[in-house]
Amino acid sequence: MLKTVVDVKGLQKLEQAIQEKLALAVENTAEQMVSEAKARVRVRTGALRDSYEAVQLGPMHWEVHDGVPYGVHVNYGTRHMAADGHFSQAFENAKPVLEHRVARAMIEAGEEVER
Amino acid sequence: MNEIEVVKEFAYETLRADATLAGLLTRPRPGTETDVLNLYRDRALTNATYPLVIVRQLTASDVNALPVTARIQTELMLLVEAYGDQPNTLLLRPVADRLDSVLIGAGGDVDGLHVHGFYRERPTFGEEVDGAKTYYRLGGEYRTTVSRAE
Repeated sequence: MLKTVVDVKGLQKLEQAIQEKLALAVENTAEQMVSEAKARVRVRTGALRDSYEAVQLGPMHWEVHDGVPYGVHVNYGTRHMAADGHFSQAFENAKPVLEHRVARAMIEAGEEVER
Repeated sequence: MNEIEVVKEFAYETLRADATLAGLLTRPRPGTETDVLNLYRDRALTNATYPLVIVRQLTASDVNALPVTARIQTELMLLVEAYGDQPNTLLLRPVADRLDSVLIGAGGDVDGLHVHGFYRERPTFGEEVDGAKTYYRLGGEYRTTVSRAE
């Protein structure tokens, strides 16, 4: 009789490791978006630049926002003012970085559980 | 080469060449009998009439091969929106619809670059309050890639 036994161990540890590393990946990406938005924004008084922050809403849920009412107009422009796109570009640049960090988090979690 | 101005100009000229859009955007210049096409790059004139359209660049990212001096292509996103001074978007809808029809798939060779067809990444809507007046905007974020023309 041929018989195959598959015994999977450590799934809970793997799940925990993945969650921890993914949470860090999301947090780091949110912080990176803040830094990049601050670095790219057109500055007159510095109020918009200084108002950017990343706020944690959940374990893997972060929000990056400004704290002044005119930030959207600086990013997208107005009828008589050109757009600087600082936030759009920060978001654009964060997307592939997050993908890379998520992939890396999965690999590192697997390696950690294997050890 | 800097692709941003080339692509913005390409989109602008593509829109400018469309007779239907010209019909929607051509108005007499204030105080004169001269007609003007209310299509702008980056920002509108302060005395512009409505509706008007503004073509802007929002993002740009290079895709490089190894070594990184070998650029494969550049991805660009334009924000193309119609602005109106009416208290609703009724007059803007046909303009925004036409922008979408003209831009989607528009591409070609210009200044040694090949502009691959535009596609819309997301529709946009917003309002701009200026004193007691609210201006509405309607349009979309349009993405394209450009590479060196063969």
